[in-house]
Amino acid sequence: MVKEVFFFTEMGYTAYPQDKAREAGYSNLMFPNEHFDSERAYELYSMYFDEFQHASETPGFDGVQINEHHNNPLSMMPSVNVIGSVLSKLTKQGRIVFLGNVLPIHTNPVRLAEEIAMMDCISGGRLVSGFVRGIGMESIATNTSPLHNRERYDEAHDLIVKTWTTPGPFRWEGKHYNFRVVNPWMLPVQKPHPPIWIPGTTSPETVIWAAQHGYPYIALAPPLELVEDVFELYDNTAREAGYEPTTDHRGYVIRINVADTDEKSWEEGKNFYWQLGTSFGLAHPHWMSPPGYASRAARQTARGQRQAAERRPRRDISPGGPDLAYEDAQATTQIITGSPDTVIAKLKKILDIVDPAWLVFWGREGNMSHKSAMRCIDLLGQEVIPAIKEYVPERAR
Amino acid sequence: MLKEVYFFTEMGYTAYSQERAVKQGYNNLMFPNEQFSPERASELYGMYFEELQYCTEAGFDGVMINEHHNNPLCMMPSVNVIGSVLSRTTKKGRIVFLGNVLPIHENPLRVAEEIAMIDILSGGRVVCGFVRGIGQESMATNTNPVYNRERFDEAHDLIVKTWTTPGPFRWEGKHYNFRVVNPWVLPLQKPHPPIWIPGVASPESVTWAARHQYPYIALAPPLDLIEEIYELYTKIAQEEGFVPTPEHRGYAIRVNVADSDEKAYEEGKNFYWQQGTSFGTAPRHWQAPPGYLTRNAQQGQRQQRRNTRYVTPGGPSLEYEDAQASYQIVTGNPDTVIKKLKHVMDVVDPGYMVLWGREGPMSHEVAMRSIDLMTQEVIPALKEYQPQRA
Repeated sequence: MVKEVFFFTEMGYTAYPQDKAREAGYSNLMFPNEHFDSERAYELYSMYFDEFQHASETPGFDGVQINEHHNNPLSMMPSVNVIGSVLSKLTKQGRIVFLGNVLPIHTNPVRLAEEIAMMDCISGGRLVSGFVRGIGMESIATNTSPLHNRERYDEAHDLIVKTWTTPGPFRWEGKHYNFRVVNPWMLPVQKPHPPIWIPGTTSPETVIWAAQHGYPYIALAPPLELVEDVFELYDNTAREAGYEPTTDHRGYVIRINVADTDEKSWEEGKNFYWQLGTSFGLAHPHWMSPPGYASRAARQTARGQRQAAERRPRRDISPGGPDLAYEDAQATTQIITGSPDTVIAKLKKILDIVDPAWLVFWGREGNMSHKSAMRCIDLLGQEVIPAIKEYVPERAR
Repeated sequence: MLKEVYFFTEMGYTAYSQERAVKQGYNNLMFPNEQFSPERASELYGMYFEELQYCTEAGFDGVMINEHHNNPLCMMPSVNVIGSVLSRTTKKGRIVFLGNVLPIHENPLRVAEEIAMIDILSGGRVVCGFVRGIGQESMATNTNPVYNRERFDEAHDLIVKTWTTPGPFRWEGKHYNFRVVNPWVLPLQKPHPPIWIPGVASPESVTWAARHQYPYIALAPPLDLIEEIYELYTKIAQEEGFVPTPEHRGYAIRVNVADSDEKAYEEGKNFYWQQGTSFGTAPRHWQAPPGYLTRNAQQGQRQQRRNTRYVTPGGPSLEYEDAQASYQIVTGNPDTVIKKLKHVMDVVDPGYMVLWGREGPMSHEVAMRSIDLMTQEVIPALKEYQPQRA
């Protein structure tokens, strides 16, 4: 059964000239930042923080989710910790779910451990600390070798967890990180440390890694038909690791809009396609996945997906274009829209298959008006979430 | 004349066992972090943030924040986390970062991104200071102290270029390399947030600040050093072809104001809250590891040690009475403090003043009373005072 529900937006910078991006052929990484207007960004930040705060105060919601991307109008959160710091004091209740800090791009994981600990103390223990590898562009924007992405991810994770759980001072001599003194004078208020969640777009290696560590795996809005495979892999790996997974190990992020009528909501849902007719924006494949970034196993899976895509319309909206048609995104429940009743019925079908304890409503994107977003939050809180939280999914029966 | 006045606290973690630190001979870097209680930190954060927010509402022109690592002196191991919080919890006043410790960062672009984000979030209220950090910051982050100043320079140049040159561009330096510099978030203030350089009177930092025409903020040095500092600043400024104004001069000073001189004198002792010192105790080679200081600066320091004694940084400290006499700590009722600060202003004539107004186990009530007296009586009097130097 669903235990907690969170609200998410990428905080898109919607004011850039899309025709310039179409001309260039990409909307990120090398897309000139002279198209960024900090005055507009101020207004947008203010609007988004209003919405986050409203969600955190709306009964039914249990918190908000935040994210990090670099050199990308997709997301005005190039430092998830700056956004999280604001929320740690601006919001008075609810969890702040970081999905997450991009471990491999950092050269000093101890600083990350310090920052997360500070925010955990400042927020009164409301952090969920997710860790991600980042898409390829994060590596390029920070000049980090994609080849060592997963090694650095693993080592940074181990160092951060040790920093939080082992009394200092101690020494760390690893392959990618070396510290003569690890002894930060700031530790998290949650013991042994804030919950660690691992989000992903169904790459099997990440699913296995999460299961081996007993961390919840949060599926980032994949096509519903892929989800069964994902959690079957998770469950098998968990059992090999010697524990029985529960709903607490499953999270699900879904793009959603609720409005007063099905028709209005269908129109609002198109805002998820705000960037050049795609959700994520345009980028070269080698920016998304530079040489060395994906292992052979992962690439074969990606290839498998591409081959499948050649036979039928591409299934996955995110990340990266080109996208499938809006209708197909609706059909594969990567986007769901409707009146509260319609959305409740659609969500119950998803819950029947996934049965997640943690549900993230990706509830605003693109040029959606503030009013529509606020109305959506209200309807989610008043009608959708109460119905969802008392529903016993088929998978749980 | 004085333009703006800010409030500062180190946000000390006051709940550790001082006895243990005395026994060990140091209270930072290697001082075991099992002495840290996150629950107590959570309460202390609550109190400090309330005080800072109150300052911005009561009449200060803003607040100053800082960064130290592995050190109960300061619960701000990331100045940008603290600045992010303040960017939205305060509604007015500048947020003066003194500052980001440039050489310990491997990715100055991230610093540029974070400051840009905070500048926008705050509505353009960021003052962006850069510091080298004391030796402990290098050791806590495993950064080679030998390259401290080179990295400071290069990180500074890269950050300023990032803010002022349209991307994408490439940066191939000695310490930093980026194939793509093109962050999607840039500061609200144009060309970029004001850059201030704080220091404890090291001549190299003074010279560097003057060469860049950045304000130099003297961090509560003995008053008798000040004249030399700003003489040096003025000399360099002349070489650079500009005439320094009060806006190139800032001054941070430890202050307590209470209803009576006697009470304020007692409260001032809170600045000595760590084993009878202000900063705490640490071996000298943690403060300045081999390579951290140039020969020039070492000779300067040696000179200074002969001439005078500092409260900060690092123990052993001088007597409380001597700290009062050398204007490193100023206490009293509003009238007394106004008189003392006018004397300081006669010597320094700063455009910016930072009142380091709370430290150690001082009670919340006392801190709030001090803030009230500063904003109601002290600051108005200082702002209309015409200093002798002017």
